[in-house]
Amino acid sequence: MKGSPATVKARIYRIDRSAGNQAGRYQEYEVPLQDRMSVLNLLQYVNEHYDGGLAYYVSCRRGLCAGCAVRVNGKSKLACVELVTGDVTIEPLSEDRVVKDLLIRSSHRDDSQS
Amino acid sequence: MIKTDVLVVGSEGAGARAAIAAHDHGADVLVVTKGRLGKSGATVTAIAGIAVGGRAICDILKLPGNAEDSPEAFFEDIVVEGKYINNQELVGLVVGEGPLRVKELIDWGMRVKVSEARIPGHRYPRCVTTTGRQIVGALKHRINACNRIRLIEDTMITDLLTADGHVAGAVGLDLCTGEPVVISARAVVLATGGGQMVYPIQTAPEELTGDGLAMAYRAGVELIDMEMIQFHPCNFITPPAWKGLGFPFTIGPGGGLRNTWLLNKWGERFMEKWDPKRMENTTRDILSVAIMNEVLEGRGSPNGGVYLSLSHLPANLIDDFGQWFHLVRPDWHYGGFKFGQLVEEIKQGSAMEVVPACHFFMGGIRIGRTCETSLPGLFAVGEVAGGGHGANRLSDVALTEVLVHGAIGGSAAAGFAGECQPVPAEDQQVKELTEKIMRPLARHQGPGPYEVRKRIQGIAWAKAGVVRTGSSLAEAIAEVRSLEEGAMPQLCCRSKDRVYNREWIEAIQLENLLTVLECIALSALARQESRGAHFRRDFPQMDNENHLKNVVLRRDNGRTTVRCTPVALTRCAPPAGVGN
Repeated sequence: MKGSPATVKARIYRIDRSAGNQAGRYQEYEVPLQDRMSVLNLLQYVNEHYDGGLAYYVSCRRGLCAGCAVRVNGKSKLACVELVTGDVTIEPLSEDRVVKDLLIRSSHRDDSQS
Repeated sequence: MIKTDVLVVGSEGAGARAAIAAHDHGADVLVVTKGRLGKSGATVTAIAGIAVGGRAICDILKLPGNAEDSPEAFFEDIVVEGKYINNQELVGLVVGEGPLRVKELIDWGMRVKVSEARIPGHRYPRCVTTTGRQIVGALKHRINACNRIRLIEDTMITDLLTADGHVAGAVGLDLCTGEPVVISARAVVLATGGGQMVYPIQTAPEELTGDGLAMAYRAGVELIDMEMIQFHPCNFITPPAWKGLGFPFTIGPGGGLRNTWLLNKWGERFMEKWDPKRMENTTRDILSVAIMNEVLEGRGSPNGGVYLSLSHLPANLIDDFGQWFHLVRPDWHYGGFKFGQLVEEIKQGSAMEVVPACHFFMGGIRIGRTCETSLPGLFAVGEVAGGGHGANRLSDVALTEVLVHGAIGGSAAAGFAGECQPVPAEDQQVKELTEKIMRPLARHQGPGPYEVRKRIQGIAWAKAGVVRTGSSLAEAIAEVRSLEEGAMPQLCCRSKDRVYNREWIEAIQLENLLTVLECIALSALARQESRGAHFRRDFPQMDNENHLKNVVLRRDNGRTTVRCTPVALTRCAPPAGVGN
């Protein structure tokens, strides 16, 4: 990609309720930009290079299972098909349903589950 | 401790159908999935054809099918494609019961169309088409109506529990709490799919890490024909967002366009060396072997594939193709992706870089006619089970098998649970297996899981991938064992989070990937011939005299035995004198 920056800044919403945090915060990461790189590719890069504990859901990587939906720059998108073209803010679909970071509680998950 | 009659591991196609069957046969059922219901597994990703049989489409589905087809022809096509090493009893079940299972799913809400296409390998049109979403939707709807099925998501089963030579349940990890889970069950059904993630590029979803294969193997259960792995020939190797996606194949040689070129870095159409008559329109297994041969001999593209070129085709022909070919939309949307811009680049003469991707495991846990395994109380259904497809799977039979196995295995598990006397697993076994889960989190130094995954996938691709030799396989086995003794016992997660720690999940999965790789390499080494999806450069011919057999692996007290068993040719035998 001629003329485009070599890296992008990703602002990612982070929260770990099990650690007693009630409010989320944004953490910024610098990630190398590749042509036709998805938001999921970016999350995987952060997970593998900066923080193994970053929580998000992934399954099919093809826009079919719809499990990886997050908010990208304020809009609801599937992380696996949404392409990164510049600096980006990534947040969970719903802060109320957050388990950790970008992972929200499944609608089927039984709260009495052990 | 959670108690149930039947534990089903895996919640999608085969697992969901098994849960419903076990429930309908009176069992209390617990379904546990590493992912989420309807949002994980291979079924939902299917661009789905289901092979039913032409006559059965008429007689059972009451839809307009091709009545020239017969169950006998369908049976033969599966066995011919499987190069005669299929378990023919299992083939008979898929052909015989498939139509009933599809009818049932239609009754539960799945919408289908009858396909008039004759799919390669099938003598007649005999499939219905639908989407993966329709299939999982119908199953999910039915599961929700079953009041004795409990569902636990985001929970990875890591090992089976055994007692007195029976299955006794399983242990695992609740990914959302980071706490171990112990389940006592009278019968267990594994429906965990294949182990595609052992390779660096896959068409399959992220969670298919061979968990069921590896945990069964660790528990001493027999695996069959683990060398038989189907590679889908032409997938994007780059850009990152599209890696593993089969769009090039859809528009390329096996898809809608019949005159597309595969080129090596010298610009040669190398298919000339492999199949001069059919060229790029040859079968998937030959395409995959030919492509990887170019790559391994140093004639590949910069990212480790080859070029798929359409540049000799007129731009308006490509535009028109998008209008008439049923698998792409006129706006070039495919799966969840938009390929309009790519198609413009193709029309300007750019080639795509493509590579084979791991698609399907024909081999797996050895099962009999009720999907029972060699461990009493343990059943295996769907892709995790092996033997039905032989050396190569015929298109569109995977989903048929998923439904047939699910129904058979689920009801058999319920039957077993109703008759057995439960024996609890010993505390010591539970303690050891749960402690194993926690270890990578507790260590403070050692190799990281992502780094080790890259090494495993690198070995798999170079030495036990599409093209194999005796020496490459022996090296793969030696390197696997060195990782088992070196890096694996020292795996260390950098993040110490308990809740949904992906690095920790990866560390647990690595043991399974490594086990699956070892099984693939051991089986591939034992099969000194080429057959179907298994290609040995040092034995390029099929050898019916010595290798018309199945390779069975079993681990006992830490030692693996590899034995070859004759194929039971109950209905179809290979034509005499044919060597290839």
